[in-house]
Amino acid sequence: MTSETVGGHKVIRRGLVVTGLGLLGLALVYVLALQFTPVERLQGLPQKIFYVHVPAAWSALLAFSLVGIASILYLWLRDPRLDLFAESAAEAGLVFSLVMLTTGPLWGKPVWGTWWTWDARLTFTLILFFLFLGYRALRGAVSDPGERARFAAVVGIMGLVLVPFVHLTVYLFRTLHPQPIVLKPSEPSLPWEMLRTLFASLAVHTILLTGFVMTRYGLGKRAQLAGGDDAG
Amino acid sequence: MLPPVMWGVQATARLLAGRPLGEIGGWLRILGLYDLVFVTVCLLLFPALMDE
Repeated sequence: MTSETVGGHKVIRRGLVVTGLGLLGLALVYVLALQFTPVERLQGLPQKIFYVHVPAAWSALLAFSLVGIASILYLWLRDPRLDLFAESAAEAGLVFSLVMLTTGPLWGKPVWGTWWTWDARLTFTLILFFLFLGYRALRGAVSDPGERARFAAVVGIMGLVLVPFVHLTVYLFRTLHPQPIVLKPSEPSLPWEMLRTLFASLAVHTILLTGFVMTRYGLGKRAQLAGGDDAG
Repeated sequence: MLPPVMWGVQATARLLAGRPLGEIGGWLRILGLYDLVFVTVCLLLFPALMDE
């Protein structure tokens, strides 16, 4: 077993520890959200989904931004580790996007009265999700590692450019999706108890994202070193 | 390519229905911004797609 293989195992182990911590934190966030955070007056209990939906969206957009940044660096430095990192972040981002796209309609049905609407924000998020599904498919379709990394990096950068559009849509359109309540020019418009739970959940989701990316990176490294190329 | 096509369709549908220009302002703004950003990015990334 080479030292690099040991390194791959070490990253997986650390990634699993971080993921475990994140899952523990997630359980605590659920308790905090359900027991120690007031029920919103107009929306009632469905508003609690907000504490999963918003952090999942944050983690997804953060992951896709990391893919883009790693892709830019890859095209510049041509370091295969950056490509593997981008691949890992893209997969983690897809997981969080799925959470976001599932919890959104679960909230939308009782509050808007519909599971889905072709609103600018929702449509854009779906397009971003499809773009990264395409990123996965592209990685599976190109066999030469160098070519695959190059092509994937270009798609990754396109994804990074789309991320600000997702945030801007609520300002540019009359949309059903609520306006930002925390990431906006003026102060956050949430009571402290709700803001506290939201921030706790944001932190936990960021830890989970870190754990997922580390574990996936270690698995990819191990697969590469085991001889078979981790075919994307 | 999908987003600009969708926005173009949305804006044109409103124009043909005789809706006020103000109503399609959002679509036009984002179309312009999207075109500007992606034309620039595509020009910058094109060499990376070509074999060295």
